[in-house]
Amino acid sequence: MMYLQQVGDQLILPVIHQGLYRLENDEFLRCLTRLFFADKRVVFILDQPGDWLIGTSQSGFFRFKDGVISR
Amino acid sequence: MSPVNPFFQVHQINLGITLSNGNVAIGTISHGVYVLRPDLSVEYVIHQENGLQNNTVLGLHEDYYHDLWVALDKGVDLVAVNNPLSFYQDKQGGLGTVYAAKVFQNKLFVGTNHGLFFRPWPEEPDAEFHLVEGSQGQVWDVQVFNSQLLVGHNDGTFTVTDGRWESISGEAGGWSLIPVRDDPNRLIQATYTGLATYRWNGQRWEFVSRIGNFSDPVNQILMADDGSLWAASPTKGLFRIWLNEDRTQVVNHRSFAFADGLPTEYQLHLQQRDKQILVGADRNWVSWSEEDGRFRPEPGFQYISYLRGTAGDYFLDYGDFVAYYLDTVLIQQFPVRLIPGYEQFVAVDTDRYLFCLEDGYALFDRKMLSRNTIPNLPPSINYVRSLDNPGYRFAQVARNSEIHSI
Repeated sequence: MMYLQQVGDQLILPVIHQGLYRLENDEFLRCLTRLFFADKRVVFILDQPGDWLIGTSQSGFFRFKDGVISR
Repeated sequence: MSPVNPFFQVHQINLGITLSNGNVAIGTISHGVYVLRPDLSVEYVIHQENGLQNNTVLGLHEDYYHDLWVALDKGVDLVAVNNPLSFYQDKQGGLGTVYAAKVFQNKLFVGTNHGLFFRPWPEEPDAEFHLVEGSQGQVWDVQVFNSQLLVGHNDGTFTVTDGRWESISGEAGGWSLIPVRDDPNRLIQATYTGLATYRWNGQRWEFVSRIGNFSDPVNQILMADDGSLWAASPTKGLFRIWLNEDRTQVVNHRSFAFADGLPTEYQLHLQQRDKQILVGADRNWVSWSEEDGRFRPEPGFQYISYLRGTAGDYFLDYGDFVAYYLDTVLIQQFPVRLIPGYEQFVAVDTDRYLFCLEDGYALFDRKMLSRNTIPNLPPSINYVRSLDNPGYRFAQVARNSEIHSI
């Protein structure tokens, strides 16, 4: 487990080997159904206009919008 | 996606923050800080080679003034992002001392004591300077007239065509080229052996001849409103020169000495402010009086050099710093040390000036001045206390400035 991060009005928790979770009603829910970030160490998530910018330690960064990831 | 992603797979991202202008600052493990634009193209990269104490970034913070604090594996650095002045430092010494510069055909050309170099313009992060092959040696002057690049060099005057170094003239020491006031197809050059003249043939500049009857070395020239030339020697001497109609011969010239009101006869600076011809040395300036036939003291001028900008602005060089004026109002002072005797700057676009330095150059961005203004903030009062009884606070001040009794 990494640090809980505030992204916009959401709280996001990157979990090592499992990916990203969102805290909602005292419950952690997966942000993605597939384990895309499970093998990556997420070091920052920035709330950008229209999407999130997700930085990983060794795989560069990704755009994340409506459950879709793009490079 | 950003073309820098492959770099991050090598250098490893450690953290990232969004900056107030929408850019993103990314700290890496082994290559400093990348500042990316919202489209993820690179705005600039700051690393150990261009200023950071260390390449491992552990923390980033943007302060109230929009400057970037960088916590490093070794020390803490402040990146003055909001500073209108940025530096290109030639740490390896390959570039040499920069004497002249010009932007031409999407390239920044800089003339140094090692030759003519270029890099892409607008600037690309980490883009290196390349030597124009054949230009090795001292470059004094780089200018563009009629869309042709002209380079004054120790060995003559050259142009660059499709990257090739081509000779225009073999007159040694092309120190300074000026346009002729009433003839846009004619240039006059100050050289090691006097004056030379060039003509536009409709397609390119061509060397006409040396200007006869004058052979003193002169490195500064300017043309007065009456068409006469003022010329200063790099060592000793100041001249006023009258040319024949086709500007191939000197028909008359006058040498000036201490008795004519000059502060000295050695290493004079020659400048024109509006219609005034000014001559200076060691911060002592005199102005030419046509009425008196001699120079008058200008005790109000204490600077080393005056550099006129393009929009009613100008710089005064004081040796340890340069002062920037807009419409005669002092706007800001900068810690820039120009090359003594060769104080040069060029307007590289509508907003930026480039200062030639001994170890590279400095870029001054006028647009950044307004962003650099620090607003006057109201004082923040936390409590009211009696001086007679310091331990007793009788009022607390809330955030909305309301005072509450305790």
